[in-house]
Amino acid sequence: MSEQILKVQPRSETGKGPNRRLRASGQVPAVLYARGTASVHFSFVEKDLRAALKTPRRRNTVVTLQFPDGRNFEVLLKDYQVEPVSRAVIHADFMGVHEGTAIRVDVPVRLTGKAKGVVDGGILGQPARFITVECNPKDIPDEIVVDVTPITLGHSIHVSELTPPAGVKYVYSADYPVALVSVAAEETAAATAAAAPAGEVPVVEKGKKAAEGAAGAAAAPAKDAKKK
Amino acid sequence: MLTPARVKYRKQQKGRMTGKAYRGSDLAFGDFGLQATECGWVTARQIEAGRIAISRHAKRGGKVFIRIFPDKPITRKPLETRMGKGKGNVEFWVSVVKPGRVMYEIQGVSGDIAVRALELAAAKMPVKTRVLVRGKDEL
Repeated sequence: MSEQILKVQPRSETGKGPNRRLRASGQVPAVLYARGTASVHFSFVEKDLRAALKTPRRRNTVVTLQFPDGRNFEVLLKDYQVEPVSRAVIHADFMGVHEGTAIRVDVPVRLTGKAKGVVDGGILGQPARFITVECNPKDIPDEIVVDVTPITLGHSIHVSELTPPAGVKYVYSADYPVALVSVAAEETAAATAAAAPAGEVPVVEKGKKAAEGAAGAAAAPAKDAKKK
Repeated sequence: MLTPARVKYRKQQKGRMTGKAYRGSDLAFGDFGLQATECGWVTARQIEAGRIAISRHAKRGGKVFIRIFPDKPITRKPLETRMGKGKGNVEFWVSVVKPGRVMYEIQGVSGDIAVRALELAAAKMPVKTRVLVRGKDEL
């Protein structure tokens, strides 16, 4: 059993109204699903979840859900939603895990070192914040550390070039860059383009209206002049 | 300044700003972002002023991402004009920003510089904002 324990309350009602009432009472609605079993609806206190996930693995921590009736489930946080302004958790999905059954999880990537390209004036970019891995729940790495020192200006490191830790397989259909050093752009087009008069943006012309649109655009200044 | 390349209709109605920005409310590209906490119209001029403030403070280092686009035309009637005689002329373009919207992101600079740069941009904004940091408040 996992050392991280989250005490939860079962809930019988689902849907917008009951869930809003639940949130107003300080609970977060959540669902648990696992292969071969029916989904279970429950609620928890956000503070307790944050405490349970305060480990090096963060959201990939295997947590034991404890129900008041004595049922326990080993789970991983699969997904969660936050309120955009307060950043409070408003719903969470948990996925049941079993030791010995491989699962897919997203592991955060941490870049280390100073890339050669950055020394030469480039900007280090990280297109992939996470790498999807397949492994047993106990083998989930805390993070994937990528040394970016050899990257030169205009070059990148792809996921296929990384060596996964023991017992872990990287999952990807198309090879993608994890870190790259791009050339620092000069002033963007937005800055250099002369400010066009606000009213002179062309209107999309369609079929019969094309002629009218063109005529209308030409007539517009005259019409505006009359208004004055 | 940012303006649309072409539009389907030249003028729009005023509209109402309700709800929150559930899309575009998380950091997507950079490590630091400027998030609106109230709604408002951000003009193309203000977006550009914010961008310049960020890039100047970062001394052109790092990469700045602008996550809003001014696609709403705003019309004004000329001064001393009687009411009527049709809708006024398009004077400027705005982006409709709702609470939660991430307006700028920055990557490739240190935390201190990024936060200060975003604070300088926040001073150009017509809405209240706060700085988002990747990893903070996230599960």
